[in-house]
Amino acid sequence: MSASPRVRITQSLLSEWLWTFKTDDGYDNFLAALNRQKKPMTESMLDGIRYENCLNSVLDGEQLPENHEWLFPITEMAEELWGAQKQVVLFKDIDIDGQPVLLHGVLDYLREGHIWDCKFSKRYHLNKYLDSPQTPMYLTLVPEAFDFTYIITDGKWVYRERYPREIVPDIGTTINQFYKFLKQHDLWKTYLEKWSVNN
Amino acid sequence: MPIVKPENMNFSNKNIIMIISGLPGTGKTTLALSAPDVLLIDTDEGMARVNPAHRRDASICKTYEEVLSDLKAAEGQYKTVVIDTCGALIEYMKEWAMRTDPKASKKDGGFSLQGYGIIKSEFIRLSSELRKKFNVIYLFHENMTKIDENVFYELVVEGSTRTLVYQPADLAAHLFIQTGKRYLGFTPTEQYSAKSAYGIKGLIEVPELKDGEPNNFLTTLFDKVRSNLAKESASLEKDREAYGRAMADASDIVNAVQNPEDVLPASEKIKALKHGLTSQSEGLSMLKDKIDKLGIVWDKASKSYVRKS
Repeated sequence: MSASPRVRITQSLLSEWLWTFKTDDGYDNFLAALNRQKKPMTESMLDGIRYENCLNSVLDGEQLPENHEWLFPITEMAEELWGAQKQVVLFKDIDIDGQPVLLHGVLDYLREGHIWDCKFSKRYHLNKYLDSPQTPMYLTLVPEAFDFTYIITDGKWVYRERYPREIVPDIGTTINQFYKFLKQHDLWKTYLEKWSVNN
Repeated sequence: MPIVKPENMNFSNKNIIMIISGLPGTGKTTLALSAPDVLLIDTDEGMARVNPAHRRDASICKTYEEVLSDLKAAEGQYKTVVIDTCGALIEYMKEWAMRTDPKASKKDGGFSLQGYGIIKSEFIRLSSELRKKFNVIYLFHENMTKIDENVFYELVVEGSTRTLVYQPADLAAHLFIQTGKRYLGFTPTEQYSAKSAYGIKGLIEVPELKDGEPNNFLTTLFDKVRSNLAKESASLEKDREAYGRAMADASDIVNAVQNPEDVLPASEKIKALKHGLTSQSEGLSMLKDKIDKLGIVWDKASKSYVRKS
């Protein structure tokens, strides 16, 4: 029997899969993600990128003008994230029931045992990221980190959702369920083909 | 300001901000009165429902200015203030904002969008000021919402402030009764919001208060928070020292990289450092940033780093 090929997995693929249970068009979006089709950028995604670029420029020493639309949230976030390493690319090999898996993630910010992910959400509500696979995935990628904080803005206010490691479930359980789903829906071959580490 | 080493940090006076939320009748006020040296800011006639044996000093306020004035007078006399309920406090703030700031009112007399901004800022300011002097317990009533088979407990508070009130809190717990026992849930679930920190997590049973027993559940919990903080700080002391040294060494190694042939040895040197906390991931990420700046890339064919052509 040939050994299973090593496959890559990201938190965004898992997120797209979890959305299949929440929205009507979730399954189609998931299939697009599984087939690695690029999604067109939404206005909200573009706002998020613009915000993060602005925040990073402040962390690199630039000053925002007094009348900047995001002066307040960016100043508050920059104070907290000062000195953090930005855009940390990480990989980690794990094994899911004999299947070699490469976890891959890009952390927004990392400093002294703490991970942060910056979110721009015009309609933020409490516990928005409670079941996000990003939390367990990134805490697995950085086993030395204590906690993962979503630092969120709606453009005016700053909110935080902090998840200490001790309350975060194991990512292996989610990946296991995801793989069962793929096999039940005849999508396993597509996954192996599109997400092989050699691709 | 003098720099304090972790081994000399003292958390015995750390003030804690905690949210307790629950359906009416779950015993929020009595539980809040179990914190150390309590003054209750009573906007909900909550004290009337408390067993007389467990009553504490209370201030009955009808306006936000009265709340501020009583809080000022309480400085140095109490260790904890309980705001019962915080939903009512936000309503007082709303009324105060409309009276004192024209921007808070719409032309038709309603509350304006800027008004919500004013009360949000005021809530954050008040919490920050109170933390300097007291432990703070914000009590909230909850509504139970049922969507299909799913139940969700939501704070009774003006909608747009609901997300914000959790921000200054160290801990937040949903108080509920199940099979005759009372629990505080500190880990957020799909049913309720909560906030876990300092090793306080999951469900903690709140024992039934029997006649003659001291009402001190939260006093003990706050002591545990401070003790956990002190233990955590002590246990991390060596890791933090190693982190500081490794980050300084990694920075020197990265600064020395100028050419493609420097990259692999630099990566090995960073990995070989004695690391603490997340210094290895951060050090390697610093190296990646540097080679990106220098225009150096990994060449799959030659299996080596090269200058981008």
